[in-house]
Amino acid sequence: MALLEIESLSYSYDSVVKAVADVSFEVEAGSIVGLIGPNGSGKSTLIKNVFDLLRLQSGRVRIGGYRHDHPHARAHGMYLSSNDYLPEFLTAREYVAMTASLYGVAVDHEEAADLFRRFAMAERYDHLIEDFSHGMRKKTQLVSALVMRRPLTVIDETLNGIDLEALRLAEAEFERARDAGRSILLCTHDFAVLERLADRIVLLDFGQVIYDAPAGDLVEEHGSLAAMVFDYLESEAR
Amino acid sequence: MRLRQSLVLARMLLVFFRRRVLSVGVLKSVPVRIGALAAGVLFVAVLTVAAHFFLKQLTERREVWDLLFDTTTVSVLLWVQIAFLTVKVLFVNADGMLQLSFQMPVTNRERSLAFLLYEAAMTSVVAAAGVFALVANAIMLLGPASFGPITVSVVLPAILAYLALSVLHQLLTRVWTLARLERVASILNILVLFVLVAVYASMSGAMITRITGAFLDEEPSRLWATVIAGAADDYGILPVLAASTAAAAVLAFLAVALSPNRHIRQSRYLNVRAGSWARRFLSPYDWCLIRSSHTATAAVLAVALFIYLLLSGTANPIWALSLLTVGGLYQFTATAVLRSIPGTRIPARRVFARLLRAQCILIAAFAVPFTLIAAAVDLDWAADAWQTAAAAAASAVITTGIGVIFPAEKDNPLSVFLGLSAVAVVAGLVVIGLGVLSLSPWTTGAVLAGATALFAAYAIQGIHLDESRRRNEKGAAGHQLRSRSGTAHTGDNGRRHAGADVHR
Repeated sequence: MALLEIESLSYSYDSVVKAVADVSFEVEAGSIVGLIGPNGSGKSTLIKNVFDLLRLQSGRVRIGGYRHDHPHARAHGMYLSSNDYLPEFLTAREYVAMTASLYGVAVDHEEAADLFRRFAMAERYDHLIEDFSHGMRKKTQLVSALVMRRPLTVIDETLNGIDLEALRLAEAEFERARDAGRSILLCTHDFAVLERLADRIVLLDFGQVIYDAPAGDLVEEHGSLAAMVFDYLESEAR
Repeated sequence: MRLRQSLVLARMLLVFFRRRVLSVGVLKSVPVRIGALAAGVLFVAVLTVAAHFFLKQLTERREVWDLLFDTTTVSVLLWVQIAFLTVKVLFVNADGMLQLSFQMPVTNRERSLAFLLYEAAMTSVVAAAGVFALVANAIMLLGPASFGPITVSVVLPAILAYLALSVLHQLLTRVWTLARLERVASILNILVLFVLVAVYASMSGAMITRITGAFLDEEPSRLWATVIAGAADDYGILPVLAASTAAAAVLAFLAVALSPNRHIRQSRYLNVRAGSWARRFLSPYDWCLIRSSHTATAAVLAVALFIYLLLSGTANPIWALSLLTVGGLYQFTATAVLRSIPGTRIPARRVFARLLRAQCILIAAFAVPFTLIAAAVDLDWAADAWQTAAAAAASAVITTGIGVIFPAEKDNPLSVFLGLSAVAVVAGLVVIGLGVLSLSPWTTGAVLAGATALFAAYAIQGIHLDESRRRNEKGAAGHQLRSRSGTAHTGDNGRRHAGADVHR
């Protein structure tokens, strides 16, 4: 069953040139899909459309079977943005509590505090986010996503900027989430992470889907995801 | 220390100020910028022309000019303090500006000197605007003979006062650092400077009276504020110029030498804690206001004003509550992050209600102790508490509205100052109009309440527009595709050639 369905989505900022052009793909339940593409390829615009942060102009998006702007759809999906724009005036505990209240879930603060400790941020759970470094903010986003346990989590370059230990821990948690039937749309430039984790890969360029195939098949065909992307970027067809 | 490095950095800071402070929020609009500049220039020009007609008759009376220069020295010192305080307030959260300089090949001392030069340039613009009318007329009417008095009564006191304030500022920062309060040093410094300005402003009237009295008695006025001009009378201008230059050099050296050898990031929010009952009651919008450093500053000032009014008895001290609403000016932009979270979209009127609720909670938290203390001193004050609370609530609506209509992007208060000025002018005209009509207090109250409600409605429309812009509500899907060359191709049924076949 597809947890996220994107159908013929097009979007333009200036009503002339398409930032995203007729994009369609799906994310199945219990899968990790890697969304890759150069800067400006339309990844973040696409994700903002999925989460109704930009008004959908053309096409259709469904999350968990619901229209993307339906409250049930909102409750199904969680978005970790590429920036570290968090409410600095809240403590991490308050941020997690606020997120939980938005999703209508009972949060286990003990679990969140334990994740903070495992992410090498022990004792920082009651500190103001203002005092957190860039990497700590990213990890705070990750912890909040992990304790919310949404059926679909979209991670927009959140893994960039966190340390190796946290990355390893995050990978293990993502695998656990997939085993539990939850899905992750992982937007990253880290091909090695995708080769280890992703079930499918969607390559976006100039707002269009160039590849949408099982990660294993792509690696088998090109040798690696990096080779696939670089071959494409240097191709005359582009 | 290389002066060239500091000058290059100071120039970059001025560009930063122009593009990041003078060009954000409502100031993005060129007509608004031109209008604000034209209004300022017109104001100074009117003052200069009016002063000209007055001073023209006094051209031959040198003793009156001496009196004018002495009183100008008193006001120059006030202007310098106000300008110094304004610059510090403007850049209390300008961490971004400091970070710009970290990657540059400059030492900490060179960076400090650059900031000193940059702030001095800003202060001199403000101080120059304050004394322009007198100085321009003195040059026009007295010619080269005015250069000496202008130097000893305006230029030297301004420079020395600015440098002395810089040294004081650095010393205070050192003291706060020793007391482990370095993260809130900027706020504490501003509070101390504010007290300094208030004390000096209260003294300046008496000083001018003393100078005028001495003039009428034909005796020299020996005041600390006019000591440079007095020394110039006694010893001549050249020795005073030399001594002042030496003093300025020492002060400049101290200001640079005392500057911290590392940048200490200033807290924009204080980790104010609350019990579990309050955590359940308070929303993130409330926390944003309660923890804001602007609120902390406003709260300290409100308490200071409350104590002053309580002791002096000049007005009902509960009026100090209105000062608490200052934080509302910054709240809309500070809470933008909450509205960018998926699934948090709510109608504009509810956003406004949440912003206002936070302010009302803050006012209520202070209103209770203020009323109880005021009642202990004078029961009449407590009886009028509802009026002061209503005025504070109206003030909360106004400041929240200004924060929406004139958003303080990146904590830039200049846009907010402009909004405050515009609202003050309109409110002044409304009050004058109501005074002319001589309406009953109830009718006046109803008109003011109506005006406040209209302002709130306008602010709600502003929130709606902001959300609409953020979501690009009016955008259409477009019809051209992008390509590597940057040339847009007309779509072939929505697909670009290279990407026409999706590899599956």
